[in-house]
Amino acid sequence: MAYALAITMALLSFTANSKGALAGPKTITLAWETAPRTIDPRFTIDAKSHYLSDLQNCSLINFDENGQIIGSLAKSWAWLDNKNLEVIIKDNITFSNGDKVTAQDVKATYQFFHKTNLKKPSPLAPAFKKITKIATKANKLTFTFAEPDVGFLQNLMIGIVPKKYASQEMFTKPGSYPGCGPFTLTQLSSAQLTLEKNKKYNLSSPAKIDRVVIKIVKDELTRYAKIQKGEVDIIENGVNREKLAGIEKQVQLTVVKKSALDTTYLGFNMKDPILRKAQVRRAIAHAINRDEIIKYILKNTATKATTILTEGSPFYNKNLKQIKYDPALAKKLLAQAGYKNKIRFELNYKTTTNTTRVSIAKAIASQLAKVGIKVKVQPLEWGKFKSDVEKGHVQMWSLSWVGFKDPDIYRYAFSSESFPPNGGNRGWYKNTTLDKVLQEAKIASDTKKRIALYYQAEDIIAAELPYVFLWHEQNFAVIRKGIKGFRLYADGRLSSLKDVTK
Amino acid sequence: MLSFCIKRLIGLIPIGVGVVTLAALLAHVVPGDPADSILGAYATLEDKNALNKQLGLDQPIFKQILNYYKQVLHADLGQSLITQRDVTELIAERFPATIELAIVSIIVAIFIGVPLGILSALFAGGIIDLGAMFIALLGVAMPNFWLGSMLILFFSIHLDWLPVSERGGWQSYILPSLTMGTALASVLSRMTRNSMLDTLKEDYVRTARAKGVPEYLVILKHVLKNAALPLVTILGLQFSVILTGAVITEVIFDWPGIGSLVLEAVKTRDYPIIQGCLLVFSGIYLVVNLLTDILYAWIDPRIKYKSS
Repeated sequence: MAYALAITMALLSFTANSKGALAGPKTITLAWETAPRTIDPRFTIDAKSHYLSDLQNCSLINFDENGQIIGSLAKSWAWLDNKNLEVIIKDNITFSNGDKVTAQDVKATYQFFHKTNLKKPSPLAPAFKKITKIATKANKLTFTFAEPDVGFLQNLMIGIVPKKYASQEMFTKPGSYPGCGPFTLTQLSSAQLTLEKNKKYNLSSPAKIDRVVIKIVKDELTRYAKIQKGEVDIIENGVNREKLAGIEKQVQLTVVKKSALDTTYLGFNMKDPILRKAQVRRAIAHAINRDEIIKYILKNTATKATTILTEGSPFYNKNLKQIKYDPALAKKLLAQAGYKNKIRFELNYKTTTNTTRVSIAKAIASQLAKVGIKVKVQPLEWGKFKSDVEKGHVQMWSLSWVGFKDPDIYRYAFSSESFPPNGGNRGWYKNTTLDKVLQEAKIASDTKKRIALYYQAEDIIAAELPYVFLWHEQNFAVIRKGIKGFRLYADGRLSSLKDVTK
Repeated sequence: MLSFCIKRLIGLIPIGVGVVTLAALLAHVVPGDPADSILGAYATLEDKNALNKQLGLDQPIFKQILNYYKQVLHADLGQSLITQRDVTELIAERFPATIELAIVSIIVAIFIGVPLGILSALFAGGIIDLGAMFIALLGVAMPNFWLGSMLILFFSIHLDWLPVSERGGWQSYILPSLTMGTALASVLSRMTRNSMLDTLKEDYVRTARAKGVPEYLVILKHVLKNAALPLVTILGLQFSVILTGAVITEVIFDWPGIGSLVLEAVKTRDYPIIQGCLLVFSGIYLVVNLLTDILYAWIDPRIKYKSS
């Protein structure tokens, strides 16, 4: 019997495609929990596709390790007025086929978003509809907009596609076009992506490794086992935070952490008769012990938040104060709001089925119970959860804003023009003063004025508490010893892979 | 035999119609808008409506069902909303991995379950029987996600004998097939035991023994052969279960099969893929059940006589 089994296994070894690790001294292997949705830079809306695009392509601007805008292909840029943006691109930058990257290539890439006869429209197209004209002259581009939007600059991080490929439908196969990033995608399967060093890359120093292999490992325990066994070199944010303390004690592994741009919040439905009272929202904020949750559930991999933006942003209002954990004050506020019974009221709290999110929701429910608020935690599958939140079938919910660098996020999250389905104001919060301030900030080309306006907006939000801002979770990476040069980025990108050595 | 097969085939038509109709209705019963999957969270209502129109999702439901029938009859399962790849191509790419794993798992289950059942029946009531049935109980009780993780920890991390995951050389088949085959082995061992015990009491077994046939020949030739009939049914049914229920094992072991494909599609609301996989899964059930019935009728002629 064992003999028959051995024969079967041997036969299978001939028929199966070998997808094992591509070993080699200059190969770095990563494990991702999900595959990128697309390999086309003109369609990237998920984090993994952005990370992949960043490795394959070059873009006009990019973001440094702290999430601040830096020039990449763009040598310089300037707002001529609040409707015209001038960008000068660097000379002699090449695609992986050796062709020069020209202003015409950049123009063609951005004009793609105006195409209407595509089989599948790009999800990024709405952001570029406001461009009415792109003029080029040598290495200079001038973007003209239908309406002022100084926050548009961050949209210039689209990977540049050569002009002769730029009008094509979505790229689905490796090698569909040459990129100008440090690596070139050479193999794509449901289990693995392989990127080879782009030998023509000249935007900055070339990659020190020959190959990056990205394995798609959906199960968290399997990812952890693979890095322990040495089948994977780097895992970014893909291991349960509860394991980090144990990992740090392991000889062969090391953990690096970095402040991220993500903000987790507790949202309130303003249409709800209880939650529309500002005193109730403030009482809830005072009843939540964030230090405890950060320590025991998030294992000290988060810092308390005061607003959506993080401290590194120039638009972050440094005068905002943390809301103190003060259950006595919470009880007092609830009494003032007219809720004096032992059980003051009941609330429904919806969250996703992610185990950490459920633990956090249960911890918050237990803390709120101490001030007399009975909370029913309802974990929902993502699609149902998202649908309920957007339709307003919710009282309280928690979610995160991920990777936001531009302060215009406040308009998307709190302006009354952003009620679903037109935006992300899922709590149906309305404040006409805030609407006015955010609209003014959107078109202010003077940076000082813009900062002052966003400070004002952040003050209004902190006073009214349409959200309780909970924390900013850190990015972390588990790395095999012997891997050098890997640096974490605040938005999770893997730009430092080209500097990694093994 | 031919009329039996034709009757069974005709019986599949209403089931097939029901399955295709259900698949076509899927996009309407699951929460979430397909346009959200394609356009992302920041698309405007106008963009979403335009896309729904382009996808034909603004048409009346009955028309959408009819369109889906037309598509299916032309062997066109549509394109992935996310990657724009043909669903047929995606399924064809993933299906061999699932089939391979299912076959190896069945072999593992037979090699573990049948001998265990035979031993158990031969020593019924004794310590071997108890031990074998305890192992069988354990096999059924262990969920795949737990067993898979434990096997990885023991064989890959602790002993460093086998790869953690991925479909590669023959070594990569061992842990996933053990994970999937263990529960089936337990079912098979219990079935074999019961069937053997029944057969052992038959007159022809007593006659064979009385004639002085060696015991091993009595067991192999007379008992096991006749006891195998219920096992065919179980294997047929379990083969479909293994083929369509490999999601957890495929996820744990990064197995690029159809189970992990459908899981990804559910997460991203990629309806054409979910619909395509639903049709394939149903097709597998129908075909395997049909083949089991035919095989059963072929092994035991009384079946077709009764049916006719």
